[in-house]
Amino acid sequence: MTSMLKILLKNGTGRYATRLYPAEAREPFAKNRADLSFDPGCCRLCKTCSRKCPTGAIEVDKENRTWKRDVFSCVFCGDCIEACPKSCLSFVARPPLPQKHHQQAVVYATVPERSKK
Amino acid sequence: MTVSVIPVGPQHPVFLEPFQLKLVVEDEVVSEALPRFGYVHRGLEALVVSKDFRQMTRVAERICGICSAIHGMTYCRAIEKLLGITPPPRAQMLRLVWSELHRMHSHLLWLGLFAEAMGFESLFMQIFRIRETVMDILEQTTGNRVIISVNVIGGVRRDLDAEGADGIRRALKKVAGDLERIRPVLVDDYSVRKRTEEKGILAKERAYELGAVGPVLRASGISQDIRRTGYGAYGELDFEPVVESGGDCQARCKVRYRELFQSMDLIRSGLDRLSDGEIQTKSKEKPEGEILVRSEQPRGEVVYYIRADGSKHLQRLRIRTPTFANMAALMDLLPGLDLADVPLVTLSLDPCIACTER
Ligand code: SF4
Ligand code: SF4
Repeated sequence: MTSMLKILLKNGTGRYATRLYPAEAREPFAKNRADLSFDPGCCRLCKTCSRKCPTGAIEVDKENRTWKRDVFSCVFCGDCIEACPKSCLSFVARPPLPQKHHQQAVVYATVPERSKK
Repeated sequence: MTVSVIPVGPQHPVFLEPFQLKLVVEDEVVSEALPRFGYVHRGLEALVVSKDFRQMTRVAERICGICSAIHGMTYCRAIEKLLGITPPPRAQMLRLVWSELHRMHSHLLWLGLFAEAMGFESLFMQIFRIRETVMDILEQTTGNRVIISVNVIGGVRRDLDAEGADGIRRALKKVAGDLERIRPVLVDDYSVRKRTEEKGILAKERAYELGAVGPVLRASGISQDIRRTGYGAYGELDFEPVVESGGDCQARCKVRYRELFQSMDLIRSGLDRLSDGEIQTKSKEKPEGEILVRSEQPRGEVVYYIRADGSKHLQRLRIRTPTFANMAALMDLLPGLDLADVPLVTLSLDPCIACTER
């Protein structure tokens, strides 16, 4: 009995084990997989990412030059990041803010035309 | 004497996952127990027909949240064997480190829940506080807390730098100190002993006959651990399975508690022996053939069976999880127990229903 009491006394007098979130938030770890960033500038619309994605979260439309990712389907596995031949995708350590509507949770980007050489 | 049938679950405060026990009770004493499954079946094995074998790695990781790294590793090992490739030594060692970290957080979770099932809330909080350190290491080194997605076919995806390794060593030192502090509570405390000693005794012979696995089997005095077969990098490290002889809840608790220290030793020596070099062996082949692979999970032996025909989809994936193997032992333990001891004894086997039903 006394052994637990000792631990409890130490807890009671020591530092808090938790933080007063959100007043006091911890910086995310550098390698965190909290969000996925997409750079439309370098994308070639090759569809590799959408083929590799295990959840089918990415949709690439070649005709309309759009790239779409459903945030709710994405499981942050990183398969698309490894697959992209142009390294357009990367993880972001800071989590995105909560969204009110499902539509807002789709990352939608139009890929700019590239001048042909 | 009145005989009544009491359904325990699928929603019950002690069972964190939906599974039902129908208990035939005669005056507070259980005379028969019938389990009922199927509440969280997700059909993950059947996904092999729609996902290709590389995408299935992500599915395998999600079979169980608590031992996700070990499921992923076992699946990758099976496919690697079919492809005839061997991951580089560094990748194998990193897999070991992350698997053992998963074993640690699983055992700590179990210890916490066990304390909670006894009604010892403050101990539960204390243990979860320790567990948070392990979760932080996982997040720091891999980017995710639970489903760390580091295993890929042919190796691992994330590397560990010297700073990360030092961070792990420092955190383990802290965890070891914290665990030492709760040892007297788990082992000597009067009320804990009253609740756990001589409860749900599984004799050595019975454990063997019923095919129990993992800590349950080792708590009954049988020294068996699949890691001793030396798969992955385990062959390079020297260790003995943790064995207790009591066979009761107390023994199962001690086995898991001591395994935490064993895992820490394995991680430390793994980090010391981490060689430089590649972390992935690439292969463009498609798997073909049939294979059976075993690994030691926190709950015991997991078996993966895979049949592939050389196309990008596998033909069949079949998984036997440790909880399923331990169910026979549980059904043997329950008759004769007081109703009040049923939740604790059931929990002492560490049932993981999500992975049993897949
Ligand atoms: S991180 Fe994984 S799930 Fe998310 S979009 Fe990329 S491949 Fe798909
Ligand atoms: S993001 Fe990369 S993989 Fe996906 S379409 Fe663009 S270039 Fe191809």
